[in-house]
Amino acid sequence: MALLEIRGLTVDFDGPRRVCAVDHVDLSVERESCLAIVGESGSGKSQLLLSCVGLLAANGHARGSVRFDGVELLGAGDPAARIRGRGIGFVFQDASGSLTPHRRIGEQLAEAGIAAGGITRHAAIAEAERMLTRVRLPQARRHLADYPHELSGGMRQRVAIAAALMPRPQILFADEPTTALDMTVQAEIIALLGDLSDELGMAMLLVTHDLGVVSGLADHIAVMYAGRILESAEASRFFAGPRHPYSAGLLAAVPSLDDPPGTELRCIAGTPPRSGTTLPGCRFEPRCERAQPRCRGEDPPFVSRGSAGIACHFPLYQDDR
Amino acid sequence: MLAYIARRLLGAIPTLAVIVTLSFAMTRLAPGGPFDEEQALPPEIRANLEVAYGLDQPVTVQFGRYLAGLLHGDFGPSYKFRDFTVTELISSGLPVSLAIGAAAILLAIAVGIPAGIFAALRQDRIADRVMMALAVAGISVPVFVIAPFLALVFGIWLHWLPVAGWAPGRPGDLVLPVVTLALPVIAYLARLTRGSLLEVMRAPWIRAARARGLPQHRILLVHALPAALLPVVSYLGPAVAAVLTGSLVVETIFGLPGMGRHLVQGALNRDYTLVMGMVIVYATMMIALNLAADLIYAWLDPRIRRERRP
Amino acid sequence: MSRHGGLWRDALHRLAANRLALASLAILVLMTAAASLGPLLLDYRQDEIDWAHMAAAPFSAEGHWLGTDRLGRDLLVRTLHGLRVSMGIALLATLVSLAIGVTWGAVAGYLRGRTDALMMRFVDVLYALPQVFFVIILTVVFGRSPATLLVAIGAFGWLTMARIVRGQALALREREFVDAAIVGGAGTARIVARHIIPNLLGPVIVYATLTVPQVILVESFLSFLGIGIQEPLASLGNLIADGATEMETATWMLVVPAGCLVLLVFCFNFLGDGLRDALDPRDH
Repeated sequence: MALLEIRGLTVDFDGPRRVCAVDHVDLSVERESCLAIVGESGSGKSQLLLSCVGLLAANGHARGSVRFDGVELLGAGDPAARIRGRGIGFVFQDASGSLTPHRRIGEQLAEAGIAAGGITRHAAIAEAERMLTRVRLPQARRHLADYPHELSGGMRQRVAIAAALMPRPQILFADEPTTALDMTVQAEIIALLGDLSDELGMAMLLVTHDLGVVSGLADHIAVMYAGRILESAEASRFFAGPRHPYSAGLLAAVPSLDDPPGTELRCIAGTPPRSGTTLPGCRFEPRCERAQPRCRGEDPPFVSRGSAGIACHFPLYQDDR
Repeated sequence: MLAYIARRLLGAIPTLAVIVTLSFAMTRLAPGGPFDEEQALPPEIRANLEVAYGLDQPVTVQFGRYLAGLLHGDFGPSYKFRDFTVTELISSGLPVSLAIGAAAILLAIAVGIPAGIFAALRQDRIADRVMMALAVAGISVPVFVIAPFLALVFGIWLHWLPVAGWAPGRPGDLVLPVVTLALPVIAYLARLTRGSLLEVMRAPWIRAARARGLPQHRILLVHALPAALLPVVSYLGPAVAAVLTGSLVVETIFGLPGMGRHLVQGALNRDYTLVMGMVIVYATMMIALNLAADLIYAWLDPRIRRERRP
Repeated sequence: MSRHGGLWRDALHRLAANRLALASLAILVLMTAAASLGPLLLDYRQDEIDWAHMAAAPFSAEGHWLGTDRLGRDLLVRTLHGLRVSMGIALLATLVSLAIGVTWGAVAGYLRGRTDALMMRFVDVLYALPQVFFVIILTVVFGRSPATLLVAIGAFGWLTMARIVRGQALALREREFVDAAIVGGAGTARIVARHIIPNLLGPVIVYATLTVPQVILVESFLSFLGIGIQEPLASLGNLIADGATEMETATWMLVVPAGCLVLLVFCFNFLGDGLRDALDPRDH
């Protein structure tokens, strides 16, 4: 059984218009493996993560099933409270928004450890120092007494990761963990996350719009668009040959160092649909170069075969290679 | 942090200087003199009075003598209460005013802040709406309207509390004045605390704390509340100013022998030195307490407290 | 400037949807009308003593709708006169504050640099002074006439306005249309007058509407203590003071002017809040 099983997850928001951010998503994450969800802004990927751990905004509602280690996380009364900060660790995009400004970071780390259960404050602080060293923060002991604003952006993200890892979770949810960082720091954090998941035997559910991050970390990839999963595949197979036109477009849009100078950037024409609008057919159809009349009228279902799946009437490579 | 304290202290000095100078300048440069209202003063007697009070000297000399007096705590003689110096009048009233003012602020903090927290936790439910409606009333209705009404209801109709005068050893006399002074501050603090707490609870780092599995009560007490109270500390300066100004009305209506009543009397009598001296004292108190509030704020906010670190 | 037209129209729509603000506006209009015209339409003059009906309760004596005070003067007429005085002083003082504050802030914000720093330091120092106390000194020195009050209160009210306007001016100065005007050869004064000031109208209107009740409260406060408007001239403040002395036996003498004052302040506050929400919508 997979560590995390998501079936038919749907997330709606109340408001002047009813907005559906996540539309019947099926995903699974195996133990010690890394699944990366790739998508543009507004595709619903962040809301997907938040809904699994019960951190949606007050006007958001999640339906469907999210099973973590066999335990259902969706339902009345916040059942996810039991796994927050224990089985599931969470790293947010904006590290400075993850740490309480008026508490020292040593305190915040120790807190996370104590909340997970059973250790004394003394032991928690010792563990906090060890964890800071593990996330490659130099002079960990000195930094225990620091306040978040006294650290640089990259260091804060390391601290945030350390805080998420204090309870030794089985899976780490990471919502665009490197987007707010400088390029050089991004590479370090990605490498760090990869090493940590190996060291700690931890699975990862990673959300990003950056294919570079994906290639460094992911075992499996799911492509999300307008609230739907359009394609999921094992990572190496995905990069070798994506089957959905949108996935192909995403890969093609990444400029290559080998391109001759003056090459135009390839982009996907058009813009994603506004959240809340529903189309009768395939959501990607307005921007798809391969679109046929059938695509406009009929929404392709997500068809999975083994570890791969696709929602398209006319995928590239109809047959398996 | 020490640098911050030093800077703020130095900054307060020019303000104090301006207050003293302005007060003095206004009273000396006014048309006519303090004895114009006295009818039937023969010119020789008036001239003698002026010499006695040093009013025949050039303005700069008068200012110098006044400043020298200030440094000794001497505010000069009262022009109207001939047997008293201003210093005596101030010191007779100061303890009473301080007692009432301090009690009012403490009451306001003890009631207003918890009320605001309570309202925030029950956001948009009945308790919250009722409390906020009352708060709007408390902020908008001025002290000189609240005071007579409270006196009317609790003193005259219900006979629960005395409405005038104060004899030492009868603390019941002080209940109405203190409550009246405190009410507008309670209302403002409740609204401010509620708004601030609600805003802090929406902060991303609160959500992150929940994601780390921290229990809700700990998040509220340790993570949200300290941040939410910062704007409240900022408000303490204006709150003190409001209480000091309000005390003028409260002491007058309830007949309390505090500084405020002397100031009002002095103003009605056009007693220059008394008014000037009292304004300086009030202003100094405000500046000092504002400074204290700023220092508390700086101490609480680690970003200011630890300015040195890179 | 079609962009401005759209901004004002949206604001107007939002304001129109705010029933509390509209009700407040309506009440204010009624009160202004009553204060201006009422005394002309009523039978009694404000200082006219009706020896037959002293301290009469409302509706008990003919012609005296809201009763009389202890000297037999009609309470309704006196209250309306008081309303006139209080509103009049408040509006004039606010205009004075507006004139000084907007000019000061706009110039400081536009010129920036050392001039700005100096001008705002001046504001900071004055801001630290306790307004009410200095107004008291001024009344002690210059006498207790309505004119003194007006100048004294106005002299302190412009400070916050200057701060707000200066903040806006600083932000506006960075915008493109200022550069366009400079390129077009416009001088400093012209830029400030034609470009900066019209864009400040929004916050200025909001703040002015919220300043009026503050001025009313300061003036009433002083009049209550006897340091402001003097008898026999009526101000809501001194009417309340009179009412307070008689409240045991003639409660209406307190309730009528107090209720009038509270209503006035509430309405201005709600209107100001409504204007602020209309011009700068944000969820509170």
